[in-house]
Amino acid sequence: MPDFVLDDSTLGVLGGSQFSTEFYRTEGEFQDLQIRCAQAGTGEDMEIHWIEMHVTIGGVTEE
Amino acid sequence: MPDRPGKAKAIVSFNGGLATDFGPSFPGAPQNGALALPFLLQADNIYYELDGAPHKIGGASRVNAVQVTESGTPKAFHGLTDVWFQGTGGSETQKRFAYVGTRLMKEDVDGTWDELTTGLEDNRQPAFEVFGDRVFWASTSTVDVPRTWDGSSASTSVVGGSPPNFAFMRKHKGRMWAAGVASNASRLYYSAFGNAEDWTGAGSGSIDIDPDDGDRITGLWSHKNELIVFKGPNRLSVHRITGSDPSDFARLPFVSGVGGINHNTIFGIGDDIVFASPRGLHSLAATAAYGDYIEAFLARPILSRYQDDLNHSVLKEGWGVNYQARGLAIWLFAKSGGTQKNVYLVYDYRFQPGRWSTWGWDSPWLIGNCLAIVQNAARKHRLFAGTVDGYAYECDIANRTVSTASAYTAAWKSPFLNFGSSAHLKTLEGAWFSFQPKGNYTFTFGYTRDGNAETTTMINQGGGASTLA
Repeated sequence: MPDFVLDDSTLGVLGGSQFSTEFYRTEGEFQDLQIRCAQAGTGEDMEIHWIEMHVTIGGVTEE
Repeated sequence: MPDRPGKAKAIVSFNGGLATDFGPSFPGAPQNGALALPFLLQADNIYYELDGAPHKIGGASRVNAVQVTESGTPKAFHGLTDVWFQGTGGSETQKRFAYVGTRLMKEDVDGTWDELTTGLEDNRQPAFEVFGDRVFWASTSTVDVPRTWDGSSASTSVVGGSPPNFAFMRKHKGRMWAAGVASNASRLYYSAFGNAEDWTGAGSGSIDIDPDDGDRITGLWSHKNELIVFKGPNRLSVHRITGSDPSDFARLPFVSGVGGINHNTIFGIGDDIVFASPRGLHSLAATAAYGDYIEAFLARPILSRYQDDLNHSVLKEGWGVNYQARGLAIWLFAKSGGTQKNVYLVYDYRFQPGRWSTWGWDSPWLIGNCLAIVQNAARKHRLFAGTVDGYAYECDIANRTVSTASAYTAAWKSPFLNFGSSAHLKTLEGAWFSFQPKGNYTFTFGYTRDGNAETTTMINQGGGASTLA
């Protein structure tokens, strides 16, 4: 297996190749929601293109 | 999103940059399952891909392995520029030229800074210009006089032709133009035609720009056949110099209420000029259309951050460059509470309207002291920075570290979203993150529901982990 090279245009060793989608099960009720992403690692990169969010809409709340 | 109970999805994408002044929330509903964020409340240490995706900025690596010192004390890079000497051999020679501590120095693209001139005043604001295959240097020092270097001599020389002791200069219409003379703060000087070392002969002269109006000339830029003259830092004004010869040079007032803070924060992008004033960051085109109307300021989305969160007492020491390789206008300033230039305000002009981000605002990146666009060893025009500790850096490198060791955090944050209704109680079911994987490591995802504490988790970028080494 070849070494992974940071920022290499060919990321075949990652399986996801040029693009990847990961799922995370979120939970909890809300009226308003804020989302945030951060990457703090030494020598580590991040490039998020979109996030697909699924929500269940409940009834009207008077809180 | 339906306005009644049921399931719904929203593909959240990025349709705007940092806009701290737009408020904490966005009430838009997903349209056909898509929710494009019109702005972000945090966009630090990122630049944007062309679809709007935030991408962690590259790191920075030292140009010189050996720190520049004087008597053992690290010295600051006050200014840095890239110079190509044409010569007569049919190929140009590159030199990096810098004002470091009390010296002028050069670097032959070999990683070593060599002394050219000593004994200058420390901690002044420099300016650089190339004219007649020579580089010219001047500074805000009232002691040091302008100097020039031919690229091969062992030292620089004092600019000849009896120039005034100007602080900055700009080539325009075959002449060197200069200002920033302490004893004549509103006087604009020009050299003889074709000779930046003749300031008293035929064709040289000067023009007074509203003398004694409470401002001085702070910067110059040659633009569309005219010289644009900026005054500040109090009443603020911009002026145009038209004409091609002393017989028809004329000064035309352009706008008042907007001006410049210094020479080094003025630069061109595309068909426009951008510049910093004490009130904000501006474009000349927008200023031409709207004057000092605040809604037309380039920095309108982050104006309170500019006006309230920068150290305005050292604003005049800021730097700005057009980093064309990424389509970014970048200004370097000191954040409130300190004098080190530690924050970069970054405007991506590839988008209409442009998109803002910050570097070093929430998480320290490279603490700079001056900026330049310099061709690196691979002949690519890259962002370079000089620092206060005797190093020059090449920035925006592939490695996401500063000086090969220091980490920094890239982060973006959305406004609060109600998915079309704050009245309906909603339940999060799941999120799918679509990204370009960068390595076998993670990023942090956080979500805040109403007034609750943020929930965070780590998302693995490795994806198909079984295929990783």
